[in-house]
Amino acid sequence: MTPIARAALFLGALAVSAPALAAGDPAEGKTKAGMCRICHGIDGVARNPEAPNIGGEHFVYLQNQLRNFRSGKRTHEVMSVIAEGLSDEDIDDLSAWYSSIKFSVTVPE
Amino acid sequence: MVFLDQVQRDGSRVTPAPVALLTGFAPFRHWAVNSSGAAARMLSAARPALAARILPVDHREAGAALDAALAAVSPDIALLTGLADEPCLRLERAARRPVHEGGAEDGDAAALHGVWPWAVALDAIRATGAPARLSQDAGRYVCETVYWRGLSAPRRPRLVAFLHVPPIGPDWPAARIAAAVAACLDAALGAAQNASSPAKSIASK
Repeated sequence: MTPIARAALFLGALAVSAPALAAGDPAEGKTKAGMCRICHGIDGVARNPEAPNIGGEHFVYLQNQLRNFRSGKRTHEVMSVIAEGLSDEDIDDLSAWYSSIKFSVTVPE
Repeated sequence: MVFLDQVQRDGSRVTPAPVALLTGFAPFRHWAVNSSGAAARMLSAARPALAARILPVDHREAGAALDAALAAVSPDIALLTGLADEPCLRLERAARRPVHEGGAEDGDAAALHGVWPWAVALDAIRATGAPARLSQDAGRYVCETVYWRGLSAPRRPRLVAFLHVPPIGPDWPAARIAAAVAACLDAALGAAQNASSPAKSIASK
């Protein structure tokens, strides 16, 4: 196999196996996150002990979890109901917003 | 959500307590006592700062009464309640556009979603000993009409939800229902206060 053929094969494999790339609109996601803010915060910092911090999470992780809640692969009393009404576009936009948030970490001594 | 601080004479700042509105319904059909209205009355008597209203069971009149209450009270939080013949409290997440409102234009929302600390509220209700669940179907009756009205109000409160409560009966005395409603309301009051102090180290790109 020539180097060019090998490269083409590699790129083809990437196209098949790579996770969905960030495709959502963060600005739209911020607007839609009005429904999330009371638990997760508009900034992704949880407002109650039952909700995780999601600000700065990876786009693909957020997208996968929302899709899993929607499909029933992952279940949670509240999130399963909420995700049921989300379109693919909603999921991408929300994932784009929360993954666009920067955070810093301070490790204790 | 940030509630504006009030500056005291000594320069300190105090965040005012959020204003809450609680609604229930009047008796209708064979329900000589509407458990939602009874609970609202009980809580109103116990909590002078709480604004409570009893709405008529009529699509148009109930909507108008809610509009008037929202205008008069300007609440930060509105918990709307109604009766459903089910031995469980049902926290409604969404309201569909009422049929009598006519056809929606393209782009108009077919449903509006409440904003409430759902998980915390469900736990709080259950902690009173009452079963509770989250629902996506507010029932297509006056309850859903009122919920829609609250969610589409020009002066929409920051937190709005609809809670269906069981009818009063041997297993469901009014005090039990009122305690569950109070727990649901308190969950939102707690969330509103938590939300008034957002983290400052987080910034969007």
